[in-house]
Amino acid sequence: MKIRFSPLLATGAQTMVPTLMLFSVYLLVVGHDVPGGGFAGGLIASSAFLLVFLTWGRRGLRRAFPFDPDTAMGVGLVLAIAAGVVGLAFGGTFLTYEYAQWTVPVIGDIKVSTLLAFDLGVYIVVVGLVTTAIFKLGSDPS
Amino acid sequence: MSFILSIAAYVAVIPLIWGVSARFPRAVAPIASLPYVVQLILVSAIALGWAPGGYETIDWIPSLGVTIAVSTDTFALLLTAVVAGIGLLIVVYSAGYFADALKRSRFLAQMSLFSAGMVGVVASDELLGLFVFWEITTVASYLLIGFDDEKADARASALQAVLVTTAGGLAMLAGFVLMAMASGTTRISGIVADPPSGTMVSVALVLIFLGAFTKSAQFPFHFWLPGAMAAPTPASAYLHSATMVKAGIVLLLLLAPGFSTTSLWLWAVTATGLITMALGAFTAFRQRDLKLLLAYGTVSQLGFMTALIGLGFTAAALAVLVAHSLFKAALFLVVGIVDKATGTRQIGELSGVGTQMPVVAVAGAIAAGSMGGLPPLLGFVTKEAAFDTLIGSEAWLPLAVIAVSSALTVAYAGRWWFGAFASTRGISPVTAARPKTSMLLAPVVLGVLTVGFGIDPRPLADAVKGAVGQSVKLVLWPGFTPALAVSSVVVAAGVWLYLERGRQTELHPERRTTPLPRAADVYTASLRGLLRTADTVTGVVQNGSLPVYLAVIVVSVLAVPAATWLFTWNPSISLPVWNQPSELVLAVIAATGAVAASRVQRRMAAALMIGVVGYAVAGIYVVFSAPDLALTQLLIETLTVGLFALVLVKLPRRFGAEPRSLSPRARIAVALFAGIVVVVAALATSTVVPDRLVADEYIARAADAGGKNVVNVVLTNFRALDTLGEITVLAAAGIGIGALVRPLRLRRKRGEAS
Repeated sequence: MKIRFSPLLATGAQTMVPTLMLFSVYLLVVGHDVPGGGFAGGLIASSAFLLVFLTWGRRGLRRAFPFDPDTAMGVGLVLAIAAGVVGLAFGGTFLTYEYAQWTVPVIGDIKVSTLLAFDLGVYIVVVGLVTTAIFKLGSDPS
Repeated sequence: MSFILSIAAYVAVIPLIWGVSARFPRAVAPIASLPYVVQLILVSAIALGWAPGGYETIDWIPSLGVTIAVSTDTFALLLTAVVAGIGLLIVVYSAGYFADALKRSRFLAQMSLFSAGMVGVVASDELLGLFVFWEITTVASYLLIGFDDEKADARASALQAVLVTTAGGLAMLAGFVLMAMASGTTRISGIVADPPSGTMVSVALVLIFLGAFTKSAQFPFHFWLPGAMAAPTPASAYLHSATMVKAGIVLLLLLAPGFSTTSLWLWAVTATGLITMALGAFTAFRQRDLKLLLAYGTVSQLGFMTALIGLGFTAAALAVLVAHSLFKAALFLVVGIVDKATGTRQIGELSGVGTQMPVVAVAGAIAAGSMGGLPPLLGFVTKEAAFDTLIGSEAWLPLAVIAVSSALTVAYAGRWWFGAFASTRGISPVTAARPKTSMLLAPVVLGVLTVGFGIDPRPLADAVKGAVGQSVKLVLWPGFTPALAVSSVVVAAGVWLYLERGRQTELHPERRTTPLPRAADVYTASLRGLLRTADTVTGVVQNGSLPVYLAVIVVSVLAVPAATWLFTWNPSISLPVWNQPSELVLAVIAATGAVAASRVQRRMAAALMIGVVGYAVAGIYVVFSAPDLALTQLLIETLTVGLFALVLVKLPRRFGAEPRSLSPRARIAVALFAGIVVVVAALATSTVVPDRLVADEYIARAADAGGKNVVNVVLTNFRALDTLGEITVLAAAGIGIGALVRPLRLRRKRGEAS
């Protein structure tokens, strides 16, 4: 059984993929205050990459995700651990986060913390896992 | 902190060694020697009172009360001086020994890691910290013994050593935990100051003995040490003179003040030591390989120290330890020089070497003489002290065993030196290449120390007294005492034995002397048995059928709670059938999906139906206002169906008539069982009045963590370590997919080619 290229899917995906990616980043950033977070964000981004693969195949996914998935998982893990080590270095314990907060006119409060790095690590690992699975398990549409 | 930092320096230079090794190979040895030099300076400074010593601690896991504590008492300083001093000499030696720059860097880096562990072991005053350092030496010794990793026997020897010592180390860890529970502290100084007693302590001691005996190659675990001779000579010289095998002795010395008066200690440690000493000396005498002879000699000497500690003579044991470190390191290094210069280290193939390299021969003679216990060398002084202590306490049986073994020691020391250096009739003289000066330094320095401390043992006597609080009679000329008489008889007997038997090249090394199985054979047999059992179990459990795997997992996960309910069943379930009508609708959708998934004939349809079940469950989460769960559930279901689609296109469209590994009846039984258990679990958990404490605490503290979404605050703050663990599992699963798919791909490619 082969998957064929579908113009219908391609038209939909052209709108869906960027929207999903944007949404995934939104979920990643707001996760601490409303539903979302690194895991959910990573899953959304993964769905976007899966959609890319189902539409444009392996070559399409290579262009959309030009990284080695295994390396991505490693980078995500290292990032999460590094976020933990920062807490250790600042005199806390492993995985306590450091915060910095500014109040910017019009936009409001901007909060930057190593927590985001941890969540980003989770996000990258999830994306890395799913893209690994796609590259390893998927057959190309012809 | 200075002492802990000086330990960390060993690890800190490793990346430096790595960094310079390619471009500046000449800089490697000087860089590698830095931490040893620093530590020697620090040790002397603390000993002379120029630098503050004392107790240094790092809180490692404060919530569990685990700290790393090192104390710079005389005991730690003396042993650190031995470890770092001999380490430094071996760094210099290895600069000449390894011609290949890359190998040299690798060796020095691994040795540096090992030294960090070893200094940690001798200075630790905290059981768990000691264990960690102990295992660092185990891992590093694995690398060092298996250094020639292209040789199968080196790898096998390294594996044997690491398996034996790790097994002992695990037993020791259990012993440490029991000991800490019994005494209420993990500080060794605290434990021995107020030693606990009772059955638990006896069990703990036996477990700790296992660790010490495996590490220090005591009978019946001695066999890994001769095997470890596959290591390059500098590694052997370091591991089997001053370090590694001394770790067990050090541990016994640390615990002896608290427990050496118990009968368990007296019998277990003394008997093990005496058997090991006699067995080692006897086996050493029969060896032809100069290095193997030294290996068995080391086993024997370690038995000597163990026996002395068993009898409570810690000062004598420590003195013997220092003497042994000095002469055994020199002996190994000398063998390395002879081996490099002539290409052989077999007795019977070497002749006339001594005249060609007189310096090496003299250094070898000093070391061998010290091993045999000849005056005026340190080995004589310490052995004399041991005899004196044994006679003083009228320990006649141990004295007899030690005296006989010492006579054998004299004999094999003679056999070693004459085998290596003498001009023997009947063997054509070999030509020896000139040894490098850097390789000569270490044996010469060690020889000078052996003579120096032999002539004036007072500094050593003071250090030993300060270290273990027990005085020992370390003097060169004791006067005409019973100990001197024993020594004289021992040396005379040893010389006679050498002249009578030791000059033969072949001493029936393969002849079995006892009907008992050899320890090494027992090891091999048990390892093979373990592998075979693992093979059998894997064959049964991993039979390649996915339904069987699933059934095993589901049933075993659910059987445990189900079994407990059978005994503690409390039927007080009163639940409304539904809270909101929408729940009923969702439940019907989920049930329909589940039934449909099991009935449809096309695989893709089944996958979609499972997706329906998942979406319905997500809907239920929404009803119960758990948006995070619902979001994740929806996303997971979507992705799962998508990933299913990827795989399913490679499989037949329909569930076929292919033979099933699990009969429909068995499947129904498993499904029913799982369904019932889950329903009962759901009912049981929802009737329990929830303990709000944890939830309220989380909600109250979420604001402190700077988040409004408690669910994610729990995930990323309160239980961040769990999340880190989970993403590690995800990454491992990703690697697993690769590992599973690659062989399939390869097979298919090969199939296409053929």
